[in-house]
Amino acid sequence: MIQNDKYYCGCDVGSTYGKAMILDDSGKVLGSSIVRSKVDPEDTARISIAEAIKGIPGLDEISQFTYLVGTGYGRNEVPFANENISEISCHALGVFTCDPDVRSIVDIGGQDVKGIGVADDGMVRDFCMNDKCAAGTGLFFEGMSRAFEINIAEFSNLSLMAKKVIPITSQCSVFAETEVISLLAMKNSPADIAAGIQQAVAKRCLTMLMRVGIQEKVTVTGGCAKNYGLIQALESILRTKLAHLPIDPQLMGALGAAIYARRKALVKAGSSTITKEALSRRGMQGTSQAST
Amino acid sequence: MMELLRREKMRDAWISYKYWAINWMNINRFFLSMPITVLKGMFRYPWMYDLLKTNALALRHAEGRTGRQQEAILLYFSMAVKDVNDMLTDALVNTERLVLTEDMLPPEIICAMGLIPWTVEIPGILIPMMDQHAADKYMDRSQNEGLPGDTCSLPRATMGTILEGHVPDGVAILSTNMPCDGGMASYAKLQEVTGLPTYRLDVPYNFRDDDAIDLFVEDLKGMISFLEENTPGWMDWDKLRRNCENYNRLNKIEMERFDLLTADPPPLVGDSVTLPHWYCFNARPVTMEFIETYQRIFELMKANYDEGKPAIRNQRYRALLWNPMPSVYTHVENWMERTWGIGIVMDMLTYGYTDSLDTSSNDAMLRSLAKRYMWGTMARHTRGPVSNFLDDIWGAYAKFKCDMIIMAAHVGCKSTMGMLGVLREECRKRKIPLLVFEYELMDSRVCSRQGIRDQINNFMKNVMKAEPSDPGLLVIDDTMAW
Repeated sequence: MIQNDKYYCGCDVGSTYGKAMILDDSGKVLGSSIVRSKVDPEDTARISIAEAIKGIPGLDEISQFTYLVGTGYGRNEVPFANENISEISCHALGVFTCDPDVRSIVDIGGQDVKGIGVADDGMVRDFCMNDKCAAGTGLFFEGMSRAFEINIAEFSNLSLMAKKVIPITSQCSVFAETEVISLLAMKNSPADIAAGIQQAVAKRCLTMLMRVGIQEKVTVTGGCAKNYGLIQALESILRTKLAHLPIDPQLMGALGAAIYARRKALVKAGSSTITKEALSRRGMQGTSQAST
Repeated sequence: MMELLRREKMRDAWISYKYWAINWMNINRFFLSMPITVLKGMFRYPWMYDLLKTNALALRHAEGRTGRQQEAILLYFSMAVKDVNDMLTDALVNTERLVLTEDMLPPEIICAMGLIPWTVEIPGILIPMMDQHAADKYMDRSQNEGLPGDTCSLPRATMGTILEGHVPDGVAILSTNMPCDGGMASYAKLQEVTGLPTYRLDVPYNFRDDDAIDLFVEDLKGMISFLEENTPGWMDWDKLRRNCENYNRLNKIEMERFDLLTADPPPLVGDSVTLPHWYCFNARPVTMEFIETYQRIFELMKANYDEGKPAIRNQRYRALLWNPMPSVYTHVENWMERTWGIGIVMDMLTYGYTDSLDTSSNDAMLRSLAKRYMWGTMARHTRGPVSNFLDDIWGAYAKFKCDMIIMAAHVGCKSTMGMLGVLREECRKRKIPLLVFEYELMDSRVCSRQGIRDQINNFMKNVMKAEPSDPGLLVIDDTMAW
């Protein structure tokens, strides 16, 4: 087997999950991982990278990376990263690389919800975030599924079986939980209540997207992109089909970070494939056609 | 070169020390002029203790700045300290002529009647500037009494000072619906608590309409009659004329300042431009002392302009700031300069009424003043059609050759938050970079200083693709600091 001598890593240290993505010199994905976050973001980063490098021949430790970019809320706590880049830029670039036609992203992470507008070159056109309230975040869904005494996957499937939607009026995660418990106690259909929760979050996402200006195609990233009930609710509210990404949407931040890592390394090495002038024309980092 | 830099640094340090000493000297002079009265005052109005932190505030504004940009802001603070001392003297010993007024009501007429305006919001505005948590107790008090927690923190803090009995005694109350109706609630409570006669000025929002101006002139006449009936004051038209002429002198300097601010590089930026305007045009009556200080700040600006010297090193952006800066973080503009090279060349508070007052007759004066009050900053933006809000933004953006707009989105201000969506859409259409940061004017518990910085950092990194001039300033632990 031919071994690479250059490896690029993107490590997305999120509040609930740590994600890592490793690319080779040509931009091909060699490995990835998603692990539950630890208390210490540095531990999360180490564990997620260790998981991602498993099975990659010739790659055994962090020091072998040519360039490593940290992203996510804990990015500043990753001491071995060459650079830290905001997850907003990383998600935009990750999605753009997967589908260059996407112009609007809803990123639903563990602790915040973001609306991101993507420019024609994969850079961030505009963004807004809701990081003051847990409503609509991954943690919100965890709390909700706890109220139903099921896991998130089951919660998602439950909502898809709804005959009607019971509106959840509160957007505060704490009040919403008590409201859901009351609705369950009144013997309402759990599926209908679950659909109501999905709709409430979808409306919140719509507000985020409207702030940055909805432009098609639209997609969802972050762990909650795997919540099909939410995707269905969002499609219904947006009245459009959401773009399906070929790579796990939870990994978009890590993918974007890995692409940035590769570009940064190429720029530093004075690569002939991406000239510095071309990069500066594209803003700060440029857009290579990294195959993923 | 090193020698030059060293000399520059030495000069900056000297200027900083000089104004620090002048401020303490003025504070001490105020105390020593009537020590017992001041001590009694400090017991009755505990917020006076917080004013002792003034020098720390001035130094926060001057920190990291150099040359005339630094000197201008320190000069402003020295003027403000002196004037606040005068204001406190009035509040402590001249209460028989004190009229409690709303903060957006310019004081020319009141002063011309031999009365002394006391802005009820003053403690609420000033003390969070000195110490970001100093007004918390007032806001909590009013909230505990039933005022909704999402009310703008300015009336919340003001209401708290009223409920605590920390508003000076006066002879009458003047309330207005400027800048918005929210503040009027405080005055209803103030009237109930003090039992003072109250006059409510109803300032129309259609400020370009002649009929509305006529209507407001009648309202001003009503205010004058009310004050003559209920206070020892009487209208001295000659004094009003002198006040108006002083205003015109100040306005003349302002117009020259506007011209210089269009230059590239701008000769002064940020709070060195904003704060002197806010204080001299809105907060206090125009005195010769203000005019002289304003002229001195202008001369600093002019000297930079003549030498082609930028106000700040490494300036990369010319920004228009809309909405007031957070009272809990008035030095955010300094931080923006040093971290991202953002020079705020114009802002909503400064971009005010620019016409001179007509002093040809008593009626002409009143009509001019009516127009000026109706054109009051925020008053004309937060009410009426959306064009009131947007037209000024586009006008200032073009005139001062800005390349980005910074919208300080005060979450307590329902009017501007309502217009934010329209502004976002319009900026997208016009391809104007729009940085929106959310904050609560007087309450850093809602959005901390670092929370504000994070929002700015995110925008600058992700949308503007900028690199910080000083990465060490991106995150600062100042949650509990003054």
